[in-house]
Amino acid sequence: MELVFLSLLAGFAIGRFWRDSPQKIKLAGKVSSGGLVILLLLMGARLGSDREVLSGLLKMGWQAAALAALSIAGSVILLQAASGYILKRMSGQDAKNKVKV
Amino acid sequence: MIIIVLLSITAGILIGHLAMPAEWVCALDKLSTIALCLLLTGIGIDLGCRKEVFQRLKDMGWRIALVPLLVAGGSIGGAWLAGVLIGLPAREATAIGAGFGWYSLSGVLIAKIYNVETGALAFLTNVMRELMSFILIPLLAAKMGRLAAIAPGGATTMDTTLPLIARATDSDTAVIALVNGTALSALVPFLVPLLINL
Repeated sequence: MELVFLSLLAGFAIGRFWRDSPQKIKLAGKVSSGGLVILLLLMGARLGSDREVLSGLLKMGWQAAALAALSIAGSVILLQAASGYILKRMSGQDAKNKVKV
Repeated sequence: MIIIVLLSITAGILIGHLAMPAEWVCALDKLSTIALCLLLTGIGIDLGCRKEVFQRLKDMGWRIALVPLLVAGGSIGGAWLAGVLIGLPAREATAIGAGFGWYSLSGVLIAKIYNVETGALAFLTNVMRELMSFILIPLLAAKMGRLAAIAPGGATTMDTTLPLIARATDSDTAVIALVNGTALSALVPFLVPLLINL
């Protein structure tokens, strides 16, 4: 957990210095996108290399899928219902803004 | 984005299952940590460049606290409903839902306090929640709005799913996601034992 905050703080400090250098900011964005793909590959590799997790996924998979899917659905429904109220005072953008994918 | 996410995870699973030398497996954790730190530094740089983000958070005030509360309530309520449908006792289902995607901690806690089978189910459920989140975040951001994209990740919105949320939404939402993940991560060690002992 400490590493999470330290990395963010270090990045934040760098960002303050780079504020006026769009090229460096663009480069940081590209490094982030590349890093995301690496992270997903590594997560998949960790799952794939663990035979217990893989066989467990097959045995208890449907129960786990139901619990995970309905947990997510509950969170999305509650948060979406209140999103207009939560984002009401944020300037500039509407709560239902469609964003880029 | 969704295609890239799916292809990356599938390729990773195949490599891990079929082509990964056993001695490399130990290095995966360290490599993941390094990749995550790089990503988070990139997000930090993006946040540091935008003065207006923190002004907007200030404008939102206490309302931001509603995000983790609603995500927590929705997760536990949804898991309870799933428990009713699949015949799982309410305390087991709600404790599993209170893992909020933090599979390592919730699995270990339940296995230690309650029993190993339920601990394994908690582990798998929360692994699946994280996997589903990677697929749903870009979809929800595009179809329902940026705040809805925070909900699936639960506690992981402060680390593993944060880069994807930042990429699929904007800097304001990334800051809210970080606050959400931090608050939910702090709740897991308290809520899981509390609910499993009800």
